[in-house]
Amino acid sequence: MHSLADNIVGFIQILRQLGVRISTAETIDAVDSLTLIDSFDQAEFKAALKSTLIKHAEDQAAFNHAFNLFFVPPEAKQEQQTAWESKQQLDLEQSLQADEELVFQGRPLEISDDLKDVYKMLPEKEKQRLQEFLEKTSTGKNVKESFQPVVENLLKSSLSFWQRQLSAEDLAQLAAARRQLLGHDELDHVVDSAAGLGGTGGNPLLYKNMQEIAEQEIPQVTALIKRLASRLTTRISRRFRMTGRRKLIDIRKSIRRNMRYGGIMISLKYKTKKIHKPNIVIVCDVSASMTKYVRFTLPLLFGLSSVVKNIESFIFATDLERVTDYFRHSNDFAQVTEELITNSAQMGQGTNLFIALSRLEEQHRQLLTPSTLLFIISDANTLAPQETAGQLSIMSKKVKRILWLNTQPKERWPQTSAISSFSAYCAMFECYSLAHLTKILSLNLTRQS
Amino acid sequence: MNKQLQNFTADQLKDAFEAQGYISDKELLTTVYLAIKLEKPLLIEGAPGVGKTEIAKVLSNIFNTELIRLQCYEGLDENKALYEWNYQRQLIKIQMSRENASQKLTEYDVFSPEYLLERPLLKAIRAEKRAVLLIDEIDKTDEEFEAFLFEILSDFQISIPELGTVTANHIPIVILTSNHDRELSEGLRRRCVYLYIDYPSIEKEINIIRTKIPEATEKLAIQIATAVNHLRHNLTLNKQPSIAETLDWTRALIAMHADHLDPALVKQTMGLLLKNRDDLLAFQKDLGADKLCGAVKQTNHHQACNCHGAASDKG
Repeated sequence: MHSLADNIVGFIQILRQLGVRISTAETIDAVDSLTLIDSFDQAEFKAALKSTLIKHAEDQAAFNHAFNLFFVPPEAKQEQQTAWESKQQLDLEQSLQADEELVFQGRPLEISDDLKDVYKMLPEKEKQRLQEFLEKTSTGKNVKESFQPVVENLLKSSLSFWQRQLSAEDLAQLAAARRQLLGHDELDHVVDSAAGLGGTGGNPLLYKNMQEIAEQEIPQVTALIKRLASRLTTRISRRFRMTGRRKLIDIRKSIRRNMRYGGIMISLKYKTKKIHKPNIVIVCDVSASMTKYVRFTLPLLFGLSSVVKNIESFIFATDLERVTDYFRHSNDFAQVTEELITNSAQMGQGTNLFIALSRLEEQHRQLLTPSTLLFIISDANTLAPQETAGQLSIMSKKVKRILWLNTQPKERWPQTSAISSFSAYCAMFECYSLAHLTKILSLNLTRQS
Repeated sequence: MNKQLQNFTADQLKDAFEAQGYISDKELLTTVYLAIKLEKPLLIEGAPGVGKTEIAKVLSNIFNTELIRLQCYEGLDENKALYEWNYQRQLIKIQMSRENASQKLTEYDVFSPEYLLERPLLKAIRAEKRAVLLIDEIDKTDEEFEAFLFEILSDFQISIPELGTVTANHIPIVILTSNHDRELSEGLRRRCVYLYIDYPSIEKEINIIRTKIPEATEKLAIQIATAVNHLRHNLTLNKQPSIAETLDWTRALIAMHADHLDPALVKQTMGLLLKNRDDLLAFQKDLGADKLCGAVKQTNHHQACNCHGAASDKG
């Protein structure tokens, strides 16, 4: 990889691995741009690549990290390469060790690579505990070969438990470990290092997992959500405009108006379609599993309710509770939260979305109209998942669209089997940070994708 | 102008921007230079008031060409952006021809360029000189209009059913601006060269104040830039103060004969920086004029110490 063209192509491969979308046309633009600038000036070279390859402000951090790691002097490149090779070696050794340790009576256990990766990340004490369990069961009296599936299942459920305990950062690290490598050491080490640096750049609060938000950050979160919510109001009113944006001539009014000119159409009158504002209904999960997100969900409810008109807010756990009036009557978030926590019977209970949705349909039927956007904020861990999916199916026919903001990281969705059946009737978005919320609210939410 | 455009260099562009009083950096200049040379639209994103629109104005001054502006808004359609037939004039012509029996009127007579009302896009395409076309706040339009726009920006030609295809004499310099209110389509982004303008650093903002308002003393400029930077980074505001607001604040302080910031002045003039009741309340509650002036003094003192340190190291 020595020529400039090779380097550019390699660099673009790295960016693509980091999640930046770059088309062939943009690659050609980048190469063309380099013929117009002084390639020996690093700042100019960087600006040329950035302006032709990066078309989203959010991708700039990934670009900067990758550029600073890739376009370096040969000595630095050599050092990076050595570090990468030793990391790869360490990873290989850990994998071999895991294979050696996860055995039953000397035979390897059939465990997926995902769970093996989880095992590698466990604290030494926990690994020791699992090894002791395998050792004891392997050497126990009357333990036969046919016990292996039972042992495998026990181990899998234990590792799955640990997988659920992983933080979003750990999950991202696991996803990075499973990322398909380019098979070129020089490129792979940049992808690995740049991915590890994360993609912030603007306000760090935007990228923070909302379960880790501190008490003193709540006013900032509330203010940011309010700002985002105002974006939702403008977007939605526009999106509900009827078809045919071209102004139509109003024949009746034009004839009346032009009577004074003897019927000659000199002054035309136009008519436009009426803009319909949608109704928004929010159903927010405040059950025990969502307690850690309450510093995100309550400011979200408060922010949306104080900015958007035509909004109805509900919270649910084992049952549904209407909370619109709490937000309508007060401007003080702290006061609203206190009142809500004191008066609500739902906070911290179990979850039954089916009952909540059924109650919404029975008692608030008038809210579910073809112009209603129904937001569900929940981690999708609920009792009666099949009944919930059925209820979602019924409600999806009554409202404009159901939008589900899921506080679980996307990597974790496959572990909740109900999510796939819920997704058939709603648009589900990963939403555990303000950056996610920003992205969601900039989409055209009323249009079916 | 076209010869001028073909032959100009990046260094000349830098000098021209400086001559126009637009304080820029290498990234901005290289991006603008490439957009002009590659004949591609330049998409500029950033918070309101960071100087996106100004780039188009500066370019039209530099190349001494017309600035054609299409201000986007909710519900903007092709009639307002491209062209419209002048119905009233056509009707009068038809009426006149009825009264004058000798004048035979055909369809081609009333659908001629004479009866065409040029809107910004068509005007830019038919311009004699390579114009600067500013499509401001593209994120305010609808997706359908955006799709229509990027077709035009690819080919720079328009089909008018009654007249035929109009092809651009010169591909205009196209500047699109967006406040990132809505996600723009990938198709549009792909066709553009992209520039993101963030709020300026303290040093850059001092430079901007001193260039735009030469009457401001160095001390005042430093204090103002530091104060604005402090507000942007330490308060959660609905609307952060933009460069334009910094300049307004500076002008107001000069009008009040101030040569440095003090809490009383800050209290009196904060309305020029923060234009929202909630933001003003947040300022009073979470920071206040005294604390702001204290923070400014502290930052400037640190910077002065660092400068002295560096100077004595060199010495």
